[in-house]
Amino acid sequence: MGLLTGKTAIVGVGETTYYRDAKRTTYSLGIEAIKRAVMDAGLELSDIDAMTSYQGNDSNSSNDMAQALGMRLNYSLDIMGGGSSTEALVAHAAGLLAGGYANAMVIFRSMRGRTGRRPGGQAPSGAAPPMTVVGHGEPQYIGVTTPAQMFGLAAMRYMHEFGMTTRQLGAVALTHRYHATLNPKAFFYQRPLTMEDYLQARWVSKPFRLFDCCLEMDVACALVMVRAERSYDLKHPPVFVMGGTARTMAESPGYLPGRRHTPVYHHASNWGRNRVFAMSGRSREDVDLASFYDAFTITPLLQLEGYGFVGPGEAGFWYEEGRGRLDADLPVNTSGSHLSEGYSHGIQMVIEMTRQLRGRADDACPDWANGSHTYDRDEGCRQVKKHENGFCAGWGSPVTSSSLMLSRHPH
Amino acid sequence: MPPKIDWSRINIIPDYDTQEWWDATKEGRLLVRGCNVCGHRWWPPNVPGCANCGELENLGYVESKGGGNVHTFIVIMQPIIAPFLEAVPYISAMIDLDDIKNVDGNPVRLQGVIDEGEDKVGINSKVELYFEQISDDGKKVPRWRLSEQQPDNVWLFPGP
Repeated sequence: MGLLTGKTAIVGVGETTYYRDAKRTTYSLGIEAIKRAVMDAGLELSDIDAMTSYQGNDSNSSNDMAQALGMRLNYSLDIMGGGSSTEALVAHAAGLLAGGYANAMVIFRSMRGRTGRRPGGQAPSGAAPPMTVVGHGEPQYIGVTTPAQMFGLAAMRYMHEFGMTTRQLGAVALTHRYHATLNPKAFFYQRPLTMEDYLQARWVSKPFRLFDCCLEMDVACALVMVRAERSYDLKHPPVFVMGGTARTMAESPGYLPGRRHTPVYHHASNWGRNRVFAMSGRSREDVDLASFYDAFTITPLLQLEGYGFVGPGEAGFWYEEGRGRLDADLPVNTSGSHLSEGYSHGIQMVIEMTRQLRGRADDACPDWANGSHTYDRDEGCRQVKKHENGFCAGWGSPVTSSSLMLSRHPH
Repeated sequence: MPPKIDWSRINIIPDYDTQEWWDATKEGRLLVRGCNVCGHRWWPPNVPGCANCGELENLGYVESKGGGNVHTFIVIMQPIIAPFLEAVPYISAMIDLDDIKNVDGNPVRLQGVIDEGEDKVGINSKVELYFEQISDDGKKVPRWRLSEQQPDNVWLFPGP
Protein backbone atom coordinates (compact mmCIF):
# COMPACT_ATOMS: atom_id res chain seq x y z
CA MET A 1 0.00 0.00 0.00
CA GLY A 2 1.05 3.63 -0.44
CA LEU A 3 2.71 5.76 2.21
CA LEU A 4 -0.34 7.97 2.55
CA THR A 5 -3.03 5.37 2.11
CA GLY A 6 -5.88 6.08 4.52
CA LYS A 7 -4.05 9.02 6.09
CA THR A 8 -6.49 11.65 4.84
CA ALA A 9 -10.22 11.86 4.31
CA ILE A 10 -12.81 13.86 2.43
CA VAL A 11 -15.10 15.33 5.07
CA GLY A 12 -17.12 18.01 3.29
CA VAL A 13 -18.65 18.46 -0.13
CA GLY A 14 -20.75 21.17 -1.67
CA GLU A 15 -21.89 22.71 -4.90
CA THR A 16 -24.07 25.48 -6.24
CA THR A 17 -27.05 24.80 -8.42
CA TYR A 18 -26.12 23.53 -11.88
CA TYR A 19 -27.22 26.55 -13.87
CA ARG A 20 -27.94 26.94 -17.55
CA ASP A 21 -27.20 30.62 -17.00
CA ALA A 22 -26.06 31.54 -13.54
CA LYS A 23 -26.10 35.30 -14.09
CA ARG A 24 -23.36 35.30 -11.50
CA THR A 25 -19.60 35.44 -11.65
CA THR A 26 -17.31 32.50 -11.05
CA TYR A 27 -16.20 34.40 -7.96
CA SER A 28 -19.69 34.43 -6.52
CA LEU A 29 -20.31 30.81 -7.47
CA GLY A 30 -16.98 29.70 -6.06
CA ILE A 31 -17.36 31.16 -2.61
CA GLU A 32 -20.82 29.67 -2.29
CA ALA A 33 -19.59 26.19 -3.15
CA ILE A 34 -16.67 26.48 -0.76
CA LYS A 35 -18.85 27.68 2.07
CA ARG A 36 -21.30 24.84 1.48
CA ALA A 37 -18.51 22.29 1.58
CA VAL A 38 -17.08 23.73 4.78
CA MET A 39 -20.51 23.75 6.45
CA ASP A 40 -21.10 20.22 5.22
CA ALA A 41 -17.90 19.19 6.97
CA GLY A 42 -19.06 20.71 10.23
CA LEU A 43 -16.09 23.06 10.17
CA GLU A 44 -15.84 26.84 10.42
CA LEU A 45 -14.61 28.91 7.48
CA SER A 46 -11.65 29.95 9.61
CA ASP A 47 -10.62 26.31 9.97
CA ILE A 48 -9.59 26.21 6.32
CA ASP A 49 -5.89 26.90 5.93
CA ALA A 50 -5.19 25.55 2.45
CA MET A 51 -6.85 25.75 -0.89
CA THR A 52 -6.29 24.56 -4.40
CA SER A 53 -8.24 24.69 -7.61
CA TYR A 54 -8.11 23.96 -11.30
CA GLN A 55 -9.31 26.00 -14.22
CA GLY A 56 -8.89 26.76 -17.88
CA ASN A 57 -8.23 30.48 -17.66
CA ASP A 58 -11.89 30.91 -16.85
CA SER A 59 -12.05 31.34 -13.08
CA ASN A 60 -10.66 32.93 -9.94
CA SER A 61 -7.77 32.05 -7.69
CA SER A 62 -7.74 30.37 -4.31
CA ASN A 63 -6.45 33.63 -2.87
CA ASP A 64 -9.48 35.48 -4.23
CA MET A 65 -11.78 32.94 -2.64
CA ALA A 66 -9.94 32.98 0.68
CA GLN A 67 -10.07 36.74 0.92
CA ALA A 68 -13.80 36.85 0.27
CA LEU A 69 -14.39 34.20 2.93
CA GLY A 70 -12.11 35.67 5.55
CA MET A 71 -9.64 32.79 5.44
CA ARG A 72 -5.91 33.11 6.05
CA LEU A 73 -4.24 30.35 4.11
CA ASN A 74 -0.94 28.62 4.74
CA TYR A 75 -0.97 27.13 1.29
CA SER A 76 -2.61 27.83 -2.03
CA LEU A 77 -2.09 26.65 -5.56
CA ASP A 78 -4.20 27.02 -8.70
CA ILE A 79 -3.46 24.85 -11.66
CA MET A 80 -4.40 24.89 -15.31
CA GLY A 81 -6.24 21.70 -15.77
CA GLY A 82 -9.33 19.89 -16.85
CA GLY A 83 -11.00 16.71 -15.96
CA SER A 84 -7.93 14.89 -14.73
CA SER A 85 -7.39 17.51 -12.08
CA THR A 86 -9.57 16.62 -9.13
CA GLU A 87 -8.03 13.23 -8.49
CA ALA A 88 -4.57 14.71 -8.98
CA LEU A 89 -5.31 17.56 -6.57
CA VAL A 90 -6.63 15.06 -4.02
CA ALA A 91 -3.25 13.34 -4.22
CA HIS A 92 -1.63 16.73 -3.82
CA ALA A 93 -3.77 17.55 -0.80
CA ALA A 94 -3.07 14.18 0.82
CA GLY A 95 0.64 14.89 0.70
CA LEU A 96 0.34 18.39 2.04
CA LEU A 97 -1.99 17.39 4.85
CA ALA A 98 -0.01 14.35 5.88
CA GLY A 99 3.15 16.40 5.67
CA GLY A 100 1.79 19.02 8.04
CA TYR A 101 1.76 21.87 5.55
CA ALA A 102 -1.96 22.29 6.08
CA ASN A 103 -4.73 21.14 8.39
CA ALA A 104 -7.88 21.57 6.33
CA MET A 105 -7.75 21.92 2.58
CA VAL A 106 -10.36 22.91 0.07
CA ILE A 107 -10.33 21.80 -3.54
CA PHE A 108 -12.70 23.73 -5.81
CA ARG A 109 -13.72 24.29 -9.40
CA SER A 110 -15.80 27.29 -10.36
CA MET A 111 -16.81 27.68 -13.96
CA ARG A 112 -19.32 29.22 -16.26
CA GLY A 113 -19.00 26.41 -18.72
CA ARG A 114 -22.11 27.38 -20.56
CA THR A 115 -22.31 31.16 -20.49
CA GLY A 116 -18.64 31.93 -20.09
CA ARG A 117 -15.69 30.43 -21.86
CA ARG A 118 -16.49 26.97 -23.13
CA PRO A 119 -14.10 24.06 -23.11
CA GLY A 120 -13.28 23.73 -26.79
CA GLY A 121 -13.04 27.48 -27.11
CA GLN A 122 -16.37 28.46 -28.51
CA ALA A 123 -17.81 31.79 -27.43
CA PRO A 124 -21.17 31.79 -25.65
CA SER A 125 -23.00 33.32 -28.57
CA GLY A 126 -21.79 30.48 -30.73
CA ALA A 127 -19.76 32.86 -32.82
CA ALA A 128 -16.24 31.84 -33.69
CA PRO A 129 -14.12 34.95 -34.13
CA PRO A 130 -11.13 34.84 -36.48
CA MET A 131 -8.20 33.13 -34.86
CA THR A 132 -4.51 33.76 -34.64
CA VAL A 133 -2.28 30.81 -33.94
CA VAL A 134 1.42 30.83 -33.26
CA GLY A 135 3.36 27.77 -34.16
CA HIS A 136 2.36 24.85 -36.27
CA GLY A 137 -1.30 25.74 -36.48
CA GLU A 138 -2.47 22.19 -36.30
CA PRO A 139 -5.08 21.28 -34.96
CA GLN A 140 -6.67 24.46 -36.25
CA TYR A 141 -5.89 23.96 -39.92
CA ILE A 142 -7.25 20.46 -39.85
CA GLY A 143 -10.53 21.64 -38.40
CA VAL A 144 -10.28 19.65 -35.20
CA THR A 145 -9.98 21.60 -31.98
CA THR A 146 -12.70 20.45 -29.63
CA PRO A 147 -12.62 17.46 -27.32
CA ALA A 148 -15.74 16.10 -29.02
CA GLN A 149 -13.85 15.94 -32.27
CA MET A 150 -10.70 14.49 -30.78
CA PHE A 151 -12.54 11.77 -28.98
CA GLY A 152 -14.63 11.10 -32.03
CA LEU A 153 -11.45 9.99 -33.77
CA ALA A 154 -10.84 7.43 -31.03
CA ALA A 155 -14.47 6.32 -31.01
CA MET A 156 -14.59 5.80 -34.76
CA ARG A 157 -11.49 3.59 -34.75
CA TYR A 158 -12.82 1.68 -31.76
CA MET A 159 -16.09 1.08 -33.61
CA HIS A 160 -14.16 -0.25 -36.58
CA GLU A 161 -11.97 -2.58 -34.51
CA PHE A 162 -14.50 -3.94 -32.07
CA GLY A 163 -17.82 -3.56 -33.84
CA MET A 164 -19.13 -1.17 -31.23
CA THR A 165 -22.35 0.49 -32.35
CA THR A 166 -23.68 3.94 -31.68
CA ARG A 167 -26.47 2.18 -29.79
CA GLN A 168 -23.82 1.05 -27.33
CA LEU A 169 -22.69 4.64 -26.96
CA GLY A 170 -26.36 5.32 -26.36
CA ALA A 171 -26.35 2.74 -23.58
CA VAL A 172 -23.82 4.86 -21.74
CA ALA A 173 -26.01 7.93 -22.14
CA LEU A 174 -29.07 6.00 -20.98
CA THR A 175 -27.35 4.52 -17.93
CA HIS A 176 -26.01 7.81 -16.68
CA ARG A 177 -29.33 9.49 -17.44
CA TYR A 178 -31.19 6.89 -15.42
CA HIS A 179 -29.07 7.82 -12.43
CA ALA A 180 -29.66 11.52 -13.03
CA THR A 181 -33.40 10.93 -12.85
CA LEU A 182 -32.83 10.05 -9.19
CA ASN A 183 -30.69 13.11 -8.42
CA PRO A 184 -32.58 16.29 -7.49
CA LYS A 185 -29.54 18.40 -8.42
CA ALA A 186 -29.32 17.02 -11.92
CA PHE A 187 -30.36 18.92 -15.00
CA PHE A 188 -32.28 15.85 -16.12
CA TYR A 189 -33.84 15.03 -12.76
CA GLN A 190 -36.93 12.93 -13.39
CA ARG A 191 -36.37 13.14 -17.15
CA PRO A 192 -35.41 9.77 -18.55
CA LEU A 193 -33.84 9.19 -21.96
CA THR A 194 -35.00 6.52 -24.37
CA MET A 195 -32.87 4.91 -27.03
CA GLU A 196 -35.19 6.47 -29.59
CA ASP A 197 -34.55 9.95 -28.16
CA TYR A 198 -30.86 9.23 -28.25
CA LEU A 199 -30.77 7.99 -31.84
CA GLN A 200 -32.92 10.77 -33.21
CA ALA A 201 -30.99 13.62 -31.67
CA ARG A 202 -28.87 15.76 -33.96
CA TRP A 203 -25.31 14.89 -34.92
CA VAL A 204 -22.52 16.90 -33.36
CA SER A 205 -19.51 15.26 -34.94
CA LYS A 206 -19.98 11.72 -36.14
CA PRO A 207 -20.03 9.31 -34.41
CA PHE A 208 -21.36 11.59 -31.65
CA ARG A 209 -24.87 12.89 -31.38
CA LEU A 210 -26.21 15.45 -28.93
CA PHE A 211 -26.59 13.04 -26.01
CA ASP A 212 -23.10 11.65 -26.47
CA CYS A 213 -21.80 14.96 -25.20
CA CYS A 214 -21.70 16.37 -21.70
CA LEU A 215 -23.89 19.16 -20.44
CA GLU A 216 -22.03 22.43 -20.28
CA MET A 217 -23.30 24.37 -17.25
CA ASP A 218 -22.43 27.22 -14.93
CA VAL A 219 -21.55 25.71 -11.57
CA ALA A 220 -19.04 25.66 -8.74
CA CYS A 221 -18.17 22.62 -6.62
CA ALA A 222 -15.87 22.15 -3.67
CA LEU A 223 -14.65 19.54 -1.23
CA VAL A 224 -12.75 19.61 2.04
CA MET A 225 -10.01 17.23 3.14
CA VAL A 226 -8.35 16.77 6.53
CA ARG A 227 -6.01 14.27 8.11
CA ALA A 228 -7.71 11.04 9.13
CA GLU A 229 -7.46 11.71 12.88
CA ARG A 230 -9.38 14.96 12.48
CA SER A 231 -12.09 13.36 10.41
CA TYR A 232 -13.66 11.24 13.13
CA ASP A 233 -15.28 14.16 14.98
CA LEU A 234 -16.87 15.93 12.07
CA LYS A 235 -20.36 15.82 10.63
CA HIS A 236 -20.31 12.78 8.37
CA PRO A 237 -18.62 9.40 8.25
CA PRO A 238 -15.21 10.08 6.75
CA VAL A 239 -14.36 8.90 3.27
CA PHE A 240 -10.70 7.92 3.21
CA VAL A 241 -8.30 8.60 0.37
CA MET A 242 -6.61 5.30 -0.38
CA GLY A 243 -4.55 6.13 -3.43
CA GLY A 244 -4.69 6.89 -7.08
CA THR A 245 -2.80 8.25 -10.02
CA ALA A 246 -2.12 11.90 -10.64
CA ARG A 247 -1.98 12.42 -14.40
CA THR A 248 -0.37 9.34 -15.74
CA MET A 249 0.63 9.64 -19.38
CA ALA A 250 0.41 7.03 -22.07
CA GLU A 251 3.42 6.00 -24.05
CA SER A 252 2.31 7.97 -27.04
CA PRO A 253 1.28 11.33 -25.68
CA GLY A 254 -1.00 13.65 -27.49
CA TYR A 255 -4.49 13.68 -28.80
CA LEU A 256 -2.93 13.81 -32.19
CA PRO A 257 -0.98 10.88 -33.52
CA GLY A 258 2.04 10.44 -31.36
CA ARG A 259 5.53 9.22 -31.75
CA ARG A 260 4.84 5.59 -31.11
CA HIS A 261 1.88 3.51 -32.12
CA THR A 262 -0.32 3.08 -29.12
CA PRO A 263 -3.86 2.41 -30.31
CA VAL A 264 -5.52 5.74 -30.82
CA TYR A 265 -8.28 4.84 -28.34
CA HIS A 266 -5.94 3.95 -25.51
CA HIS A 267 -5.77 6.23 -22.55
CA ALA A 268 -3.16 6.80 -19.96
CA SER A 269 -5.37 4.57 -17.81
CA ASN A 270 -3.97 1.66 -19.70
CA TRP A 271 -0.68 2.52 -18.03
CA GLY A 272 -2.01 3.75 -14.69
CA ARG A 273 -4.12 0.79 -13.77
CA ASN A 274 -1.73 -1.17 -11.65
CA ARG A 275 -0.61 1.85 -9.70
CA VAL A 276 -3.97 2.73 -8.24
CA PHE A 277 -4.91 -0.79 -7.17
CA ALA A 278 -1.53 -1.55 -5.64
CA MET A 279 -1.30 1.74 -3.78
CA SER A 280 -4.79 1.58 -2.35
CA GLY A 281 -4.73 -2.03 -1.25
CA ARG A 282 -7.98 -2.54 -3.10
CA SER A 283 -8.59 -4.75 -6.11
CA ARG A 284 -11.11 -4.27 -8.88
CA GLU A 285 -13.32 -6.85 -7.17
CA ASP A 286 -13.37 -4.69 -4.04
CA VAL A 287 -14.83 -1.76 -5.92
CA ASP A 288 -18.54 -1.37 -5.19
CA LEU A 289 -19.23 1.63 -7.36
CA ALA A 290 -17.27 3.63 -9.85
CA SER A 291 -17.28 6.82 -11.82
CA PHE A 292 -15.73 7.12 -15.25
CA TYR A 293 -15.26 10.59 -16.68
CA ASP A 294 -18.08 11.06 -19.13
CA ALA A 295 -17.33 14.14 -21.18
CA PHE A 296 -18.49 11.92 -24.04
CA THR A 297 -20.02 8.49 -24.06
CA ILE A 298 -16.85 6.94 -25.43
CA THR A 299 -14.68 7.90 -22.48
CA PRO A 300 -16.34 5.64 -19.88
CA LEU A 301 -16.02 2.73 -22.28
CA LEU A 302 -12.34 3.35 -22.82
CA GLN A 303 -11.65 3.83 -19.12
CA LEU A 304 -13.64 0.74 -18.11
CA GLU A 305 -11.25 -1.18 -20.35
CA GLY A 306 -8.21 0.90 -19.57
CA TYR A 307 -8.42 0.13 -15.87
CA GLY A 308 -9.11 -3.51 -16.59
CA PHE A 309 -12.68 -3.79 -15.35
CA VAL A 310 -13.53 -5.46 -18.66
CA GLY A 311 -11.42 -6.76 -21.52
CA PRO A 312 -10.64 -4.96 -24.79
CA GLY A 313 -13.75 -4.34 -26.88
CA GLU A 314 -16.14 -5.49 -24.14
CA ALA A 315 -17.19 -2.20 -22.62
CA GLY A 316 -19.94 -1.36 -25.09
CA PHE A 317 -21.58 -4.71 -24.49
CA TRP A 318 -21.18 -4.32 -20.73
CA TYR A 319 -23.07 -1.06 -20.74
CA GLU A 320 -25.63 -2.36 -23.22
CA GLU A 321 -26.39 -5.22 -20.85
CA GLY A 322 -27.16 -2.67 -18.13
CA ARG A 323 -24.27 -3.75 -15.93
CA GLY A 324 -23.57 -0.18 -14.86
CA ARG A 325 -27.00 0.50 -13.45
CA LEU A 326 -27.63 1.20 -9.81
CA ASP A 327 -28.40 -2.35 -8.68
CA ALA A 328 -26.33 -4.18 -11.29
CA ASP A 329 -22.73 -5.44 -11.32
CA LEU A 330 -20.93 -2.14 -10.83
CA PRO A 331 -23.03 1.02 -10.47
CA VAL A 332 -21.36 3.83 -12.40
CA ASN A 333 -21.68 7.60 -12.39
CA THR A 334 -24.48 7.49 -9.89
CA SER A 335 -25.27 11.21 -9.95
CA GLY A 336 -25.86 11.21 -13.68
CA SER A 337 -22.47 12.87 -13.91
CA HIS A 338 -21.25 15.02 -16.79
CA LEU A 339 -23.66 13.62 -19.33
CA SER A 340 -26.83 14.19 -17.33
CA GLU A 341 -26.25 16.04 -14.06
CA GLY A 342 -24.20 18.87 -15.50
CA TYR A 343 -20.58 19.43 -16.34
CA SER A 344 -18.22 20.33 -13.51
CA HIS A 345 -15.00 19.29 -15.21
CA GLY A 346 -14.63 16.28 -12.98
CA ILE A 347 -15.00 17.27 -9.35
CA GLN A 348 -18.64 16.17 -9.16
CA MET A 349 -17.62 12.54 -9.54
CA VAL A 350 -15.54 12.67 -6.38
CA ILE A 351 -18.31 14.56 -4.59
CA GLU A 352 -20.97 12.01 -5.51
CA MET A 353 -18.64 9.16 -4.61
CA THR A 354 -18.16 10.75 -1.19
CA ARG A 355 -21.89 11.04 -0.61
CA GLN A 356 -22.47 7.46 -1.69
CA LEU A 357 -19.71 6.03 0.46
CA ARG A 358 -21.11 7.93 3.44
CA GLY A 359 -24.43 6.23 2.80
CA ARG A 360 -25.88 9.71 2.42
CA ALA A 361 -26.75 10.12 -1.24
CA ASP A 362 -28.98 13.18 -1.47
CA ASP A 363 -32.06 11.70 -3.03
CA ALA A 364 -35.81 11.56 -2.46
CA CYS A 365 -35.60 9.50 0.71
CA PRO A 366 -36.87 11.76 3.49
CA ASP A 367 -34.07 10.93 5.91
CA TRP A 368 -31.21 10.68 3.42
CA ALA A 369 -29.11 13.11 5.47
CA ASN A 370 -28.87 10.57 8.26
CA GLY A 371 -28.16 7.72 5.91
CA SER A 372 -31.62 6.22 5.94
CA HIS A 373 -32.63 4.84 2.56
CA THR A 374 -35.43 2.74 1.12
CA TYR A 375 -33.47 1.49 -1.93
CA ASP A 376 -36.73 1.80 -3.78
CA ARG A 377 -35.75 3.29 -7.13
CA ASP A 378 -39.34 4.00 -8.10
CA GLU A 379 -39.56 6.18 -5.02
CA GLY A 380 -36.43 8.07 -6.01
CA CYS A 381 -33.74 6.42 -3.92
CA ARG A 382 -30.27 6.77 -5.44
CA GLN A 383 -28.19 5.17 -2.68
CA VAL A 384 -26.03 2.22 -3.71
CA LYS A 385 -26.60 -0.67 -1.30
CA LYS A 386 -23.02 -1.79 -0.84
CA HIS A 387 -20.75 1.20 -0.61
CA GLU A 388 -17.45 0.29 1.01
CA ASN A 389 -15.04 1.19 -1.79
CA GLY A 390 -15.44 3.61 -4.68
CA PHE A 391 -13.25 4.25 -7.71
CA CYS A 392 -13.12 7.51 -9.65
CA ALA A 393 -11.46 7.68 -13.04
CA GLY A 394 -10.89 11.27 -14.03
CA TRP A 395 -10.51 12.50 -17.57
CA GLY A 396 -8.77 10.00 -19.69
CA SER A 397 -6.80 11.01 -22.68
CA PRO A 398 -3.50 9.82 -24.01
CA VAL A 399 -1.73 12.62 -22.16
CA THR A 400 -3.41 12.36 -18.85
CA SER A 401 -5.48 10.08 -16.70
CA SER A 402 -6.01 10.52 -13.01
CA SER A 403 -7.75 8.14 -10.69
CA LEU A 404 -8.78 7.89 -7.07
CA MET A 405 -9.73 5.06 -4.76
CA LEU A 406 -11.92 6.05 -1.84
CA SER A 407 -13.02 3.86 1.04
CA ARG A 408 -15.05 3.83 4.22
CA HIS A 409 -12.16 2.07 5.85
CA PRO A 410 -8.67 3.55 6.17
CA HIS A 411 -6.84 0.22 6.05
CA MET B 1 -17.12 19.18 -53.61
CA PRO B 2 -14.21 19.93 -51.27
CA PRO B 3 -15.37 21.66 -48.09
CA LYS B 4 -15.38 25.45 -48.30
CA ILE B 5 -12.70 26.62 -45.88
CA ASP B 6 -12.26 30.35 -45.30
CA TRP B 7 -8.58 30.78 -44.67
CA SER B 8 -8.95 34.51 -44.13
CA ARG B 9 -10.36 33.64 -40.71
CA ILE B 10 -7.12 32.20 -39.44
CA ASN B 11 -3.71 33.76 -39.21
CA ILE B 12 -0.91 31.27 -38.58
CA ILE B 13 2.33 32.78 -37.36
CA PRO B 14 5.24 30.31 -37.53
CA ASP B 15 7.63 30.25 -34.60
CA TYR B 16 11.21 29.00 -34.20
CA ASP B 17 10.04 25.39 -34.22
CA THR B 18 7.86 25.69 -37.32
CA GLN B 19 9.30 28.31 -39.70
CA GLU B 20 11.17 25.77 -41.79
CA TRP B 21 8.12 23.56 -42.10
CA TRP B 22 5.90 26.41 -43.26
CA ASP B 23 8.54 27.65 -45.69
CA ALA B 24 8.56 24.23 -47.33
CA THR B 25 4.80 24.37 -47.80
CA LYS B 26 5.31 27.46 -49.96
CA GLU B 27 7.12 25.16 -52.37
CA GLY B 28 4.43 22.51 -52.08
CA ARG B 29 6.59 20.22 -49.96
CA LEU B 30 5.39 18.21 -46.98
CA LEU B 31 8.16 17.83 -44.43
CA VAL B 32 8.27 15.32 -41.62
CA ARG B 33 10.57 15.91 -38.64
CA GLY B 34 13.20 13.35 -37.93
CA CYS B 35 16.25 12.44 -35.94
CA ASN B 36 19.54 12.13 -37.83
CA VAL B 37 21.04 10.01 -35.07
CA CYS B 38 18.55 7.16 -34.69
CA GLY B 39 16.30 7.55 -37.73
CA HIS B 40 13.10 8.17 -35.76
CA ARG B 41 10.44 10.21 -37.58
CA TRP B 42 7.49 11.94 -35.98
CA TRP B 43 4.52 14.26 -36.24
CA PRO B 44 3.76 17.08 -35.57
CA PRO B 45 6.87 18.78 -36.92
CA ASN B 46 7.10 21.40 -34.18
CA VAL B 47 8.17 18.83 -31.59
CA PRO B 48 11.82 19.79 -31.08
CA GLY B 49 13.31 16.65 -29.63
CA CYS B 50 13.63 12.99 -30.45
CA ALA B 51 11.41 10.94 -28.17
CA ASN B 52 13.27 7.80 -29.12
CA CYS B 53 16.88 8.64 -28.31
CA GLY B 54 16.73 12.04 -26.64
CA GLU B 55 18.70 13.86 -29.36
CA LEU B 56 18.01 17.61 -29.34
CA GLU B 57 20.56 19.04 -31.78
CA ASN B 58 21.07 16.74 -34.75
CA LEU B 59 17.50 16.77 -36.02
CA GLY B 60 16.25 17.32 -39.54
CA TYR B 61 13.43 16.77 -41.99
CA VAL B 62 12.48 14.24 -44.63
CA GLU B 63 10.04 14.95 -47.40
CA SER B 64 6.92 12.88 -47.82
CA LYS B 65 4.97 12.51 -51.05
CA GLY B 66 1.93 12.65 -48.79
CA GLY B 67 0.08 9.57 -49.98
CA GLY B 68 -1.43 7.47 -47.26
CA ASN B 69 -4.45 5.72 -45.89
CA VAL B 70 -7.10 6.71 -43.41
CA HIS B 71 -6.60 5.28 -39.92
CA THR B 72 -9.65 6.96 -38.41
CA PHE B 73 -11.85 9.97 -39.08
CA ILE B 74 -14.75 12.07 -37.90
CA VAL B 75 -17.48 13.91 -39.74
CA ILE B 76 -17.81 17.38 -38.26
CA MET B 77 -21.41 18.51 -38.38
CA GLN B 78 -21.25 21.65 -36.23
CA PRO B 79 -19.85 24.97 -37.39
CA ILE B 80 -17.49 25.77 -34.54
CA ILE B 81 -14.02 26.55 -35.85
CA ALA B 82 -13.55 29.93 -37.47
CA PRO B 83 -12.24 28.92 -40.89
CA PHE B 84 -14.65 25.98 -41.08
CA LEU B 85 -17.97 27.63 -40.35
CA GLU B 86 -19.24 27.05 -43.86
CA ALA B 87 -17.36 23.85 -44.45
CA VAL B 88 -19.67 21.52 -42.53
CA PRO B 89 -20.10 18.70 -42.96
CA TYR B 90 -16.45 17.92 -43.48
CA ILE B 91 -14.20 14.99 -42.72
CA SER B 92 -10.99 15.31 -40.75
CA ALA B 93 -8.92 12.17 -40.61
CA MET B 94 -5.83 10.59 -39.13
CA ILE B 95 -3.73 9.49 -42.08
CA ASP B 96 -0.89 6.95 -42.08
CA LEU B 97 1.76 8.04 -44.54
CA ASP B 98 2.89 5.43 -47.07
CA ASP B 99 6.48 6.54 -47.36
CA ILE B 100 7.68 7.55 -43.89
CA LYS B 101 8.10 5.16 -40.96
CA ASN B 102 9.00 5.88 -37.39
CA VAL B 103 11.73 4.08 -35.51
CA ASP B 104 9.36 1.21 -34.69
CA GLY B 105 8.65 0.69 -38.37
CA ASN B 106 5.17 2.12 -38.02
CA PRO B 107 3.86 4.68 -40.49
CA VAL B 108 4.09 8.28 -39.38
CA ARG B 109 0.56 9.38 -38.72
CA LEU B 110 -0.75 12.90 -39.21
CA GLN B 111 -4.13 14.57 -39.65
CA GLY B 112 -5.85 16.42 -42.42
CA VAL B 113 -9.09 17.43 -44.04
CA ILE B 114 -10.29 15.19 -46.84
CA ASP B 115 -12.19 16.56 -49.79
CA GLU B 116 -14.85 13.90 -50.15
CA GLY B 117 -17.74 12.99 -47.85
CA GLU B 118 -18.74 10.08 -45.66
CA ASP B 119 -20.39 8.25 -48.49
CA LYS B 120 -16.93 7.62 -49.91
CA VAL B 121 -14.36 8.20 -47.17
CA GLY B 122 -13.76 5.64 -44.45
CA ILE B 123 -11.10 3.72 -42.58
CA ASN B 124 -8.55 2.27 -45.06
CA SER B 125 -9.38 4.80 -47.76
CA LYS B 126 -6.35 5.68 -49.86
CA VAL B 127 -5.64 9.40 -50.08
CA GLU B 128 -3.27 11.66 -51.96
CA LEU B 129 -1.83 15.03 -51.03
CA TYR B 130 -2.26 18.43 -52.53
CA PHE B 131 -1.57 21.92 -51.20
CA GLU B 132 -3.83 24.92 -50.79
CA GLN B 133 -2.56 28.45 -50.26
CA ILE B 134 -3.85 30.06 -47.09
CA SER B 135 -2.07 33.39 -46.83
CA ASP B 136 -0.60 36.18 -48.93
CA ASP B 137 2.94 35.27 -47.95
CA GLY B 138 2.53 31.98 -49.78
CA LYS B 139 1.99 29.56 -46.92
CA LYS B 140 0.05 26.46 -47.91
CA VAL B 141 -1.67 23.75 -45.97
CA PRO B 142 -1.59 20.10 -46.89
CA ARG B 143 -4.96 18.80 -48.06
CA TRP B 144 -6.02 15.33 -49.04
CA ARG B 145 -8.39 13.76 -51.52
CA LEU B 146 -9.25 10.19 -52.34
CA SER B 147 -6.88 8.42 -54.69
CA GLU B 148 -8.26 6.94 -57.87
CA GLN B 149 -7.67 3.37 -56.77
CA GLN B 150 -9.30 2.27 -53.54
CA PRO B 151 -8.86 -1.00 -51.62
CA ASP B 152 -11.75 -3.43 -51.11
CA ASN B 153 -11.82 -3.04 -47.35
CA VAL B 154 -12.86 0.59 -46.90
CA TRP B 155 -14.99 0.79 -43.75
CA LEU B 156 -17.60 3.53 -43.90
CA PHE B 157 -19.35 4.95 -40.85
CA PRO B 158 -22.43 2.78 -40.47
CA GLY B 159 -24.52 5.45 -38.75
CA PRO B 160 -27.17 4.18 -36.38
